[in-house]
Amino acid sequence: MPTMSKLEEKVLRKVLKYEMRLKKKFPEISEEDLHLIVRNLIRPKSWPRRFLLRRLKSGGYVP
Amino acid sequence: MSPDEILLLKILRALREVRLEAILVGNAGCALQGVPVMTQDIDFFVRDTKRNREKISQFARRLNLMILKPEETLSETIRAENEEMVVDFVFRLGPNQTFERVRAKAKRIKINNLYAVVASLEDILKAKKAANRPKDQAVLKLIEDTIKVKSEIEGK
Repeated sequence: MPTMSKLEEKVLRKVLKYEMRLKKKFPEISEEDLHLIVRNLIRPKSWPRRFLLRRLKSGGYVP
Repeated sequence: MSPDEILLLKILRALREVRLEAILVGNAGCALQGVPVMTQDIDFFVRDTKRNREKISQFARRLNLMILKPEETLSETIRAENEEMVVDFVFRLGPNQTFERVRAKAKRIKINNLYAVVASLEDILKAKKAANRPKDQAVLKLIEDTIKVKSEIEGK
């Protein structure tokens, strides 16, 4: 099982901390969306960004 | 870099080579600023001039992209694409969104050794509200939520 690096752990703990604070302030934002938004906003620059979808011959889409 | 960043970098290099000033808009512009969305195409806002339309053709040739419907010379969008990518150039955004106004509020986001000029989330939101297609409506709340969270995190 792959282990989490210290940086990953630090960032994800920080995400959790922000989420705890922000979910009270923005109850209208779903927890799932809030998690992704916070994660995207505080991610280290070295983390790769994925934003393109590719269409498969089967008709489905994958990142 | 992710494969998506490598592709975007390739596009930015080609834009630079043909000296086409373009502002990244649409969902790719949103994603680079933290909005949790994905997209199939990469949209750029450019000034509507004859010279820019020529530069778009040069850009397409450099990346081996095909311009569909090139005969529609007065259309508000030019799409250049191949198997690898779909790049849209738009000449109009929402009401009162001139190129200069959007550029004044745009962000510079570093992709490896180049900067992408990306329209502000507020401008992308405004353009999507004006377009009002189902695919735009689907992401409005996510953009609004990201603006709120970003403002809070950055202490604005």
